Amino acid sequence: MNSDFVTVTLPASHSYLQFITEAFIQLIKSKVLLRDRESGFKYISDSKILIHELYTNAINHSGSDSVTFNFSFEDSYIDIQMITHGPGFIVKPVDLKNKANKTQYLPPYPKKIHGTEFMVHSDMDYEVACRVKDEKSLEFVKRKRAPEKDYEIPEHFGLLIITNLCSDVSFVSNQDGRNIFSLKRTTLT
Amino acid sequence: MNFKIHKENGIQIIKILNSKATAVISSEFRESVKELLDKEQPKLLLVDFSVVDYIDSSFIGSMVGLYKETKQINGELRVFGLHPMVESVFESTRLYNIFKIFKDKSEALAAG
Repeated sequence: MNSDFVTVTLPASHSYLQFITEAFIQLIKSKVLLRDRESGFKYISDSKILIHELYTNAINHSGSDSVTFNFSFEDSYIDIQMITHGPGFIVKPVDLKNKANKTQYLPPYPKKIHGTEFMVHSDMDYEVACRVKDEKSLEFVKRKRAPEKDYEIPEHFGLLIITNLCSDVSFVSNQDGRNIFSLKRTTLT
Repeated sequence: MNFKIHKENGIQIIKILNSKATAVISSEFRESVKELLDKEQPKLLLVDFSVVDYIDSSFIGSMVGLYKETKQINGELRVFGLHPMVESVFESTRLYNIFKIFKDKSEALAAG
Protein backbone atom coordinates (compact mmCIF):
# COMPACT_ATOMS: atom_id res chain seq x y z
CA MET A 1 0.00 0.00 0.00
CA ASN A 2 1.34 3.46 -0.92
CA SER A 3 1.33 6.29 1.55
CA ASP A 4 -1.52 8.48 0.40
CA PHE A 5 -2.99 11.68 1.82
CA VAL A 6 -6.64 12.68 1.48
CA THR A 7 -8.25 15.78 2.98
CA VAL A 8 -11.98 16.51 3.25
CA THR A 9 -13.55 19.68 4.68
CA LEU A 10 -17.27 19.84 5.32
CA PRO A 11 -19.77 21.85 7.37
CA ALA A 12 -20.33 20.66 10.94
CA SER A 13 -23.82 19.33 10.28
CA HIS A 14 -25.61 16.02 10.72
CA SER A 15 -26.74 16.29 7.10
CA TYR A 16 -23.18 15.44 5.95
CA LEU A 17 -22.81 12.40 8.21
CA GLN A 18 -23.74 9.91 5.52
CA PHE A 19 -21.45 11.63 3.02
CA ILE A 20 -18.33 11.50 5.20
CA THR A 21 -19.10 7.94 6.33
CA GLU A 22 -19.44 6.72 2.75
CA ALA A 23 -16.35 8.67 1.62
CA PHE A 24 -14.26 7.11 4.40
CA ILE A 25 -15.52 3.60 3.63
CA GLN A 26 -14.81 4.04 -0.09
CA LEU A 27 -11.25 5.13 0.79
CA ILE A 28 -10.80 2.08 3.01
CA LYS A 29 -12.12 -0.23 0.30
CA SER A 30 -9.65 1.19 -2.21
CA LYS A 31 -6.64 1.45 0.12
CA VAL A 32 -6.85 -1.29 2.74
CA LEU A 33 -6.31 -4.95 1.96
CA LEU A 34 -9.21 -6.65 3.73
CA ARG A 35 -8.14 -10.19 4.63
CA ASP A 36 -11.42 -12.05 4.20
CA ARG A 37 -15.13 -11.42 3.98
CA GLU A 38 -15.86 -11.79 7.69
CA SER A 39 -13.00 -9.68 9.05
CA GLY A 40 -13.50 -7.18 6.22
CA PHE A 41 -17.16 -6.75 7.15
CA LYS A 42 -16.22 -6.18 10.81
CA TYR A 43 -13.42 -3.73 9.87
CA ILE A 44 -15.75 -1.68 7.68
CA SER A 45 -18.55 -1.74 10.24
CA ASP A 46 -16.15 -0.57 13.00
CA SER A 47 -14.72 2.12 10.71
CA LYS A 48 -18.23 3.47 10.09
CA ILE A 49 -18.77 3.67 13.84
CA LEU A 50 -15.41 5.42 14.27
CA ILE A 51 -16.01 8.15 11.69
CA HIS A 52 -19.56 8.62 12.96
CA GLU A 53 -18.34 9.11 16.55
CA LEU A 54 -15.58 11.52 15.54
CA TYR A 55 -17.80 13.64 13.33
CA THR A 56 -20.83 13.74 15.68
CA ASN A 57 -18.51 14.63 18.59
CA ALA A 58 -17.23 17.54 16.52
CA ILE A 59 -20.77 18.64 15.60
CA ASN A 60 -22.11 18.36 19.14
CA HIS A 61 -19.17 19.56 21.22
CA SER A 62 -16.56 21.51 19.24
CA GLY A 63 -18.54 24.68 18.53
CA SER A 64 -16.92 24.70 15.09
CA ASP A 65 -18.73 25.56 11.84
CA SER A 66 -16.60 23.19 9.80
CA VAL A 67 -14.72 19.93 10.23
CA THR A 68 -11.64 18.91 8.26
CA PHE A 69 -10.51 15.30 8.09
CA ASN A 70 -6.99 14.38 6.99
CA PHE A 71 -6.52 10.72 6.18
CA SER A 72 -3.02 9.46 5.58
CA PHE A 73 -2.87 5.83 4.46
CA GLU A 74 0.38 4.27 5.66
CA ASP A 75 1.67 0.69 5.39
CA SER A 76 -0.04 -0.71 8.47
CA TYR A 77 -2.31 2.06 9.71
CA ILE A 78 -4.43 5.07 8.76
CA ASP A 79 -3.34 8.31 10.35
CA ILE A 80 -6.50 10.34 11.02
CA GLN A 81 -6.61 13.99 11.98
CA MET A 82 -9.86 15.81 12.69
CA ILE A 83 -9.51 19.60 12.73
CA THR A 84 -12.09 21.97 14.20
CA HIS A 85 -12.15 25.58 15.37
CA GLY A 86 -13.54 26.41 18.77
CA PRO A 87 -12.76 26.62 22.47
CA GLY A 88 -11.13 23.14 22.57
CA PHE A 89 -11.56 19.98 24.59
CA ILE A 90 -13.12 20.53 28.02
CA VAL A 91 -11.45 18.47 30.74
CA LYS A 92 -13.93 17.65 33.49
CA PRO A 93 -12.64 15.68 36.45
CA VAL A 94 -14.96 12.79 37.41
CA ASP A 95 -15.06 13.12 41.17
CA LEU A 96 -17.03 10.15 42.48
CA LYS A 97 -16.62 11.26 46.08
CA ASN A 98 -17.71 14.83 45.43
CA LYS A 99 -20.31 14.94 42.67
CA ALA A 100 -20.95 18.63 43.31
CA ASN A 101 -17.46 19.33 42.00
CA LYS A 102 -18.14 20.96 38.63
CA THR A 103 -14.58 22.12 37.94
CA GLN A 104 -13.65 22.11 34.28
CA TYR A 105 -10.69 23.25 32.24
CA LEU A 106 -10.33 24.54 28.69
CA PRO A 107 -7.09 25.22 26.79
CA PRO A 108 -4.71 26.73 27.67
CA TYR A 109 -4.73 24.11 30.45
CA PRO A 110 -3.29 25.58 33.68
CA LYS A 111 0.17 24.49 34.78
CA LYS A 112 -1.16 22.97 38.02
CA ILE A 113 -2.89 20.20 36.04
CA HIS A 114 -0.03 19.36 33.64
CA GLY A 115 0.78 15.67 34.04
CA THR A 116 -2.58 15.04 35.73
CA GLU A 117 -4.87 12.26 34.55
CA PHE A 118 -8.62 12.76 34.42
CA MET A 119 -11.02 9.88 34.08
CA VAL A 120 -13.42 10.39 31.18
CA HIS A 121 -15.02 6.94 31.24
CA SER A 122 -15.04 4.17 33.79
CA ASP A 123 -16.98 0.92 33.76
CA MET A 124 -16.68 -2.44 35.48
CA ASP A 125 -13.73 -3.49 33.32
CA TYR A 126 -12.14 -0.51 31.60
CA GLU A 127 -11.38 3.14 32.06
CA VAL A 128 -10.46 5.86 29.61
CA ALA A 129 -8.08 8.42 31.06
CA CYS A 130 -7.16 11.78 29.63
CA ARG A 131 -3.66 13.03 30.57
CA VAL A 132 -2.91 16.71 30.32
CA LYS A 133 0.52 16.91 28.65
CA ASP A 134 0.96 20.69 28.61
CA GLU A 135 -1.10 23.85 28.15
CA LYS A 136 -2.40 22.80 24.75
CA SER A 137 -2.32 19.01 24.51
CA LEU A 138 -3.98 15.91 25.89
CA GLU A 139 -3.56 12.19 25.34
CA PHE A 140 -6.21 9.51 25.84
CA VAL A 141 -5.50 6.01 27.10
CA LYS A 142 -7.85 3.07 27.51
CA ARG A 143 -6.79 0.46 30.04
CA LYS A 144 -8.08 -2.24 32.38
CA ARG A 145 -9.57 -0.77 35.53
CA ALA A 146 -7.84 -1.70 38.76
CA PRO A 147 -10.42 -3.82 40.65
CA GLU A 148 -10.13 -1.81 43.86
CA LYS A 149 -10.92 1.47 42.11
CA ASP A 150 -14.37 3.09 42.32
CA TYR A 151 -16.54 3.26 39.25
CA GLU A 152 -20.09 4.16 38.44
CA ILE A 153 -22.53 3.47 35.64
CA PRO A 154 -20.49 4.69 32.70
CA GLU A 155 -20.84 7.75 30.49
CA HIS A 156 -18.81 9.19 27.59
CA PHE A 157 -19.18 6.19 25.33
CA GLY A 158 -17.91 8.07 22.29
CA LEU A 159 -14.36 8.25 23.65
CA LEU A 160 -14.54 4.63 24.77
CA ILE A 161 -15.52 3.58 21.24
CA ILE A 162 -12.79 5.75 19.68
CA THR A 163 -10.06 4.44 22.02
CA ASN A 164 -11.32 0.87 21.42
CA LEU A 165 -10.84 1.22 17.69
CA CYS A 166 -7.68 3.35 17.55
CA SER A 167 -4.34 3.93 19.17
CA ASP A 168 -2.29 7.09 19.84
CA VAL A 169 -5.41 9.15 20.51
CA SER A 170 -4.47 12.74 21.30
CA PHE A 171 -5.76 16.30 21.16
CA VAL A 172 -3.86 19.52 20.49
CA SER A 173 -5.24 23.04 20.68
CA ASN A 174 -3.06 25.22 18.43
CA GLN A 175 -2.46 28.91 18.86
CA ASP A 176 -3.87 29.55 15.38
CA GLY A 177 -7.29 28.50 16.74
CA ARG A 178 -7.26 25.01 15.24
CA ASN A 179 -8.06 22.04 17.47
CA ILE A 180 -6.58 18.78 16.19
CA PHE A 181 -7.77 15.39 17.29
CA SER A 182 -5.28 12.74 16.07
CA LEU A 183 -5.47 8.96 16.04
CA LYS A 184 -4.18 5.87 14.31
CA ARG A 185 -6.36 3.05 13.01
CA THR A 186 -4.57 -0.16 12.21
CA THR A 187 -5.08 -1.63 8.76
CA LEU A 188 -4.00 -5.10 9.83
CA THR A 189 -7.40 -6.74 9.67
CA MET B 1 -42.49 8.95 14.30
CA ASN B 2 -39.33 7.32 15.61
CA PHE B 3 -40.81 5.28 18.48
CA LYS B 4 -43.93 3.34 19.28
CA ILE B 5 -44.84 2.78 22.91
CA HIS B 6 -47.48 0.13 23.58
CA LYS B 7 -48.60 -2.35 26.19
CA GLU B 8 -48.65 -6.08 25.60
CA ASN B 9 -50.13 -8.32 28.30
CA GLY B 10 -49.62 -5.47 30.76
CA ILE B 11 -45.96 -4.98 29.84
CA GLN B 12 -44.68 -1.72 28.36
CA ILE B 13 -42.72 -2.10 25.14
CA ILE B 14 -40.83 0.69 23.39
CA LYS B 15 -40.24 -0.14 19.74
CA ILE B 16 -37.61 1.94 17.96
CA LEU B 17 -38.98 2.56 14.47
CA ASN B 18 -35.99 4.37 12.97
CA SER B 19 -33.25 2.05 11.71
CA LYS B 20 -30.62 4.59 12.83
CA ALA B 21 -30.59 4.99 16.62
CA THR B 22 -28.35 8.06 16.72
CA ALA B 23 -27.96 11.56 18.17
CA VAL B 24 -30.64 12.73 15.73
CA ILE B 25 -33.40 10.86 17.62
CA SER B 26 -31.87 10.39 21.09
CA SER B 27 -33.40 13.51 22.68
CA GLU B 28 -36.86 12.51 21.41
CA PHE B 29 -36.24 9.06 22.89
CA ARG B 30 -35.28 10.54 26.28
CA GLU B 31 -38.41 12.72 26.33
CA SER B 32 -40.72 9.86 25.33
CA VAL B 33 -39.38 7.46 27.95
CA LYS B 34 -39.35 10.11 30.67
CA GLU B 35 -43.04 10.74 30.07
CA LEU B 36 -43.70 6.99 30.13
CA LEU B 37 -41.77 6.43 33.36
CA ASP B 38 -43.42 9.43 35.09
CA LYS B 39 -46.92 8.36 34.03
CA GLU B 40 -46.81 4.58 34.21
CA GLN B 41 -43.92 3.73 36.59
CA PRO B 42 -43.56 0.33 34.87
CA LYS B 43 -41.95 -2.52 36.78
CA LEU B 44 -40.84 -4.11 33.54
CA LEU B 45 -39.87 -2.24 30.39
CA LEU B 46 -38.85 -3.83 27.09
CA VAL B 47 -36.96 -2.02 24.32
CA ASP B 48 -37.36 -3.50 20.85
CA PHE B 49 -34.29 -2.92 18.63
CA SER B 50 -35.38 -5.28 15.85
CA VAL B 51 -35.46 -2.63 13.08
CA VAL B 52 -32.30 -0.84 14.26
CA ASP B 53 -29.19 -1.56 12.21
CA TYR B 54 -27.05 1.32 13.49
CA ILE B 55 -26.50 2.85 16.92
CA ASP B 56 -24.14 5.57 18.15
CA SER B 57 -22.72 6.66 21.51
CA SER B 58 -25.38 9.34 21.97
CA PHE B 59 -28.19 6.78 21.84
CA ILE B 60 -26.14 4.44 24.03
CA GLY B 61 -25.98 7.30 26.57
CA SER B 62 -29.78 7.63 26.39
CA MET B 63 -30.17 3.90 27.01
CA VAL B 64 -27.92 4.15 30.06
CA GLY B 65 -30.03 7.10 31.25
CA LEU B 66 -33.16 4.97 30.79
CA TYR B 67 -31.51 2.14 32.73
CA LYS B 68 -30.71 4.50 35.65
CA GLU B 69 -34.24 5.94 35.72
CA THR B 70 -35.84 2.48 35.55
CA LYS B 71 -33.66 1.38 38.45
CA GLN B 72 -34.73 4.39 40.48
CA ILE B 73 -38.37 3.24 40.34
CA ASN B 74 -37.29 -0.35 41.09
CA GLY B 75 -38.13 -1.36 37.54
CA GLU B 76 -36.34 -3.69 35.18
CA LEU B 77 -35.14 -2.99 31.65
CA ARG B 78 -34.80 -5.67 28.99
CA VAL B 79 -33.68 -5.19 25.41
CA PHE B 80 -34.13 -7.52 22.46
CA GLY B 81 -33.74 -7.91 18.71
CA LEU B 82 -30.15 -6.67 18.33
CA HIS B 83 -28.72 -6.49 14.81
CA PRO B 84 -25.05 -7.68 14.62
CA MET B 85 -23.76 -4.08 14.32
CA VAL B 86 -25.77 -2.97 17.35
CA GLU B 87 -24.65 -6.07 19.23
CA SER B 88 -21.03 -5.22 18.41
CA VAL B 89 -21.42 -1.67 19.83
CA PHE B 90 -23.12 -3.06 22.97
CA GLU B 91 -20.19 -5.43 23.30
CA SER B 92 -17.45 -2.83 22.81
CA THR B 93 -19.12 -0.42 25.25
CA ARG B 94 -19.44 -3.22 27.84
CA LEU B 95 -23.21 -2.80 28.01
CA TYR B 96 -23.62 -6.55 28.17
CA ASN B 97 -22.67 -6.10 31.82
CA ILE B 98 -25.53 -3.69 32.47
CA PHE B 99 -28.49 -4.57 30.24
CA LYS B 100 -30.45 -7.77 30.14
CA ILE B 101 -30.29 -8.70 26.46
CA PHE B 102 -32.57 -11.22 24.76
CA LYS B 103 -32.79 -12.63 21.26
CA ASP B 104 -36.42 -11.74 20.66
CA LYS B 105 -39.61 -10.54 22.31
CA SER B 106 -40.83 -13.96 23.38
CA GLU B 107 -37.52 -14.67 25.15
CA ALA B 108 -37.58 -11.26 26.82
CA LEU B 109 -41.15 -11.80 28.00
CA ALA B 110 -40.53 -15.36 29.14
CA ALA B 111 -37.46 -14.52 31.27
CA GLY B 112 -38.20 -14.71 35.00
